[in-house]
Amino acid sequence: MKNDANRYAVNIKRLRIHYQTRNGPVKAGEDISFKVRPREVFGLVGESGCGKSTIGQAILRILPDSTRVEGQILLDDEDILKYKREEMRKIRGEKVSMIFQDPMTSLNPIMKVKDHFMETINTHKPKIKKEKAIDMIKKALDAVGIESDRLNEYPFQFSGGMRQRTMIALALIMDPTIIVADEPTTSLDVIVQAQILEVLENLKQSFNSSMLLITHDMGVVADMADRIGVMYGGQLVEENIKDKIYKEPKHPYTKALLGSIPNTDIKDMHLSFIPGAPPDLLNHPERCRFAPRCPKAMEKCWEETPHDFVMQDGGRVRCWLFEKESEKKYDPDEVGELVG
Amino acid sequence: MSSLADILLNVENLVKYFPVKSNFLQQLFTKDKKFVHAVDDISFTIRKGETLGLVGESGSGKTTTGRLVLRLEEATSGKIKMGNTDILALKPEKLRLFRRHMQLIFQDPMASLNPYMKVGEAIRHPLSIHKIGKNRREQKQIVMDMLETVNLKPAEDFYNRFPKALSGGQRQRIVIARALVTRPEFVVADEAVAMLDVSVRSQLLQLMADLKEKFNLTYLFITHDLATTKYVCDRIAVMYLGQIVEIGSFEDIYTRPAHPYTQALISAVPEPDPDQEKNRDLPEGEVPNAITPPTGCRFHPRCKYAFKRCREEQPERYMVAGDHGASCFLLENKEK
Repeated sequence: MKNDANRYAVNIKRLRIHYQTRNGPVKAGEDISFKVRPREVFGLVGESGCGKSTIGQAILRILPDSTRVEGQILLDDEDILKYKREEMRKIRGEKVSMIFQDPMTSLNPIMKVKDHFMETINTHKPKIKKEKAIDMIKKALDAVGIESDRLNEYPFQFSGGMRQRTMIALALIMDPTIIVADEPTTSLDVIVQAQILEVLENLKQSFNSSMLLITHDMGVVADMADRIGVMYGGQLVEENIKDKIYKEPKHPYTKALLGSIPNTDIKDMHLSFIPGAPPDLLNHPERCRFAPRCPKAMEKCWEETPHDFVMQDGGRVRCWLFEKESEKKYDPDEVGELVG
Repeated sequence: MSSLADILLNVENLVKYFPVKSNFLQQLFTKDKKFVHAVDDISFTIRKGETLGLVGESGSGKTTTGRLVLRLEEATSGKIKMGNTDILALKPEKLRLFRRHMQLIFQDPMASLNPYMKVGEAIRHPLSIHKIGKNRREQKQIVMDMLETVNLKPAEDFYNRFPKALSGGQRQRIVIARALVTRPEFVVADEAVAMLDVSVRSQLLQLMADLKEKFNLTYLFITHDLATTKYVCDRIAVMYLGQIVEIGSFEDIYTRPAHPYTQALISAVPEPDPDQEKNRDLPEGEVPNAITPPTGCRFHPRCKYAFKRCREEQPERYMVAGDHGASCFLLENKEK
């Protein structure tokens, strides 16, 4: 076992994110805590507006200045929320990097593919020799399946899949502690999506970075993720190792979500759905955010926000139904071993 | 097999080429005009009360096909018959009146609803165009009934709202209500649920299935997402680069895909099941551009089974069994 300092790549404690709007605060993140271990892929799933991308952006500190962010984001045991602008710039790309959804808008159309990499390398290793840098780039492109003789081309000469491969290589080039991948395959067609997932899976074997894989698609994380956190209405409602989430989901939302995903099994023709719509996070009252759509909602659910209950199997769930079963409430400060 | 009388929509050899815009100098120096082969010689039929799923990746021509069928786009050549009406021969005024029988559900409800129009008025609009209902009051009643039908209750409450005040799922219900208020027989649903979150998407799929029963509808259900077709479609046609490569019942397509492209498409669907054996058999590369599509079978550059003939000739549709057909030389020993 490693020493405590390096036990987690990222450790998020009691994160609260409120967007300030004219009509009041939008509570996009409330009391969010989770840990990502080194080399682990943590899948953060949820529907639009659940706050999953907000968390990714908080880790990179690219939220609008007016946003109120409280809590701690420990990256290699340092709270990056305390970092100054300049300090944050230094670690972006080196310790934490991001893969965005749309590769065309995240690559500069008038910059050669090579120069995108050069910019990152020069920022973090200004003294590096050019040949050495080119070597690094070739290695990174090779890892994602792009021929290295194309590095003098422009992004528009690449297909959608190749652009996303480039983004992945770019995120990996400095061997960061964590890569935040925000819907990395959503804008791609199924076959290209499957190709990119294969690339990511191969990289998982050979690279040291952890990944926070943010997606709305439970199919995408089914392969890749080690652990999964399910988000609903700005809260992490359930967390567990992947198999437990799929096979023994506990939170009524996780159950309903899994039931409403189409698959290609023709013996399984039943598609259940969740009535109603996701909550409005503007001035949301104190209560379980899923209560209005929950088939098992009790009186208590309408009055109090559920605690984060730790379960026997090592998972945690934010639901009053598990109050009796659970041994204790989740404590983000506790240095416990994670299951899985 | 169905008799001719059952067939609502009959599309034969439909072709649509879009000219590629070129500047003056390019026109001077090149003889050949370039075209995007958006839809290239496709034929299919839809029976009354049936839902045909049109599946394909972006750029496969599925949306263009839907628009051609409704004549929102003029076909380059081919035949489209709905019942006894030759759609392509309709004069503008006739076409306008005929539109009440065929409607379109768009993908993005925010873009297809006027933000300054109350949603009730948006649904009433087609009624005044087609002069359905004696007066405004009667029309309003029809709209109210329609709102109830798509589960927006109480209808009175929703009638006077603006699209901005509705959720994504509710907006899409409005779009569906507007499409169905003229009581069409045929509806093209172009990625009707693609923008919605899973939990809401399945509500809408269920609604569309219920409405089909209630109003005796026939759907052309266009989608990039193979997995959603299962819940609404009777038959599925798979498109690749402007052509239908395979067509069959949804069971045939899911369990016995005959064309290598369909096989790849199915294996690429990410299943929400960590135990599922992933024997992905993915084709190399991406879809080529439709300006200069590959010769022969359009899938041959990416197909692992491709042989000489695939590069030279276009395969015809071979029938695998019953209604199930695919355009691939591997099936040559079957009937055409």
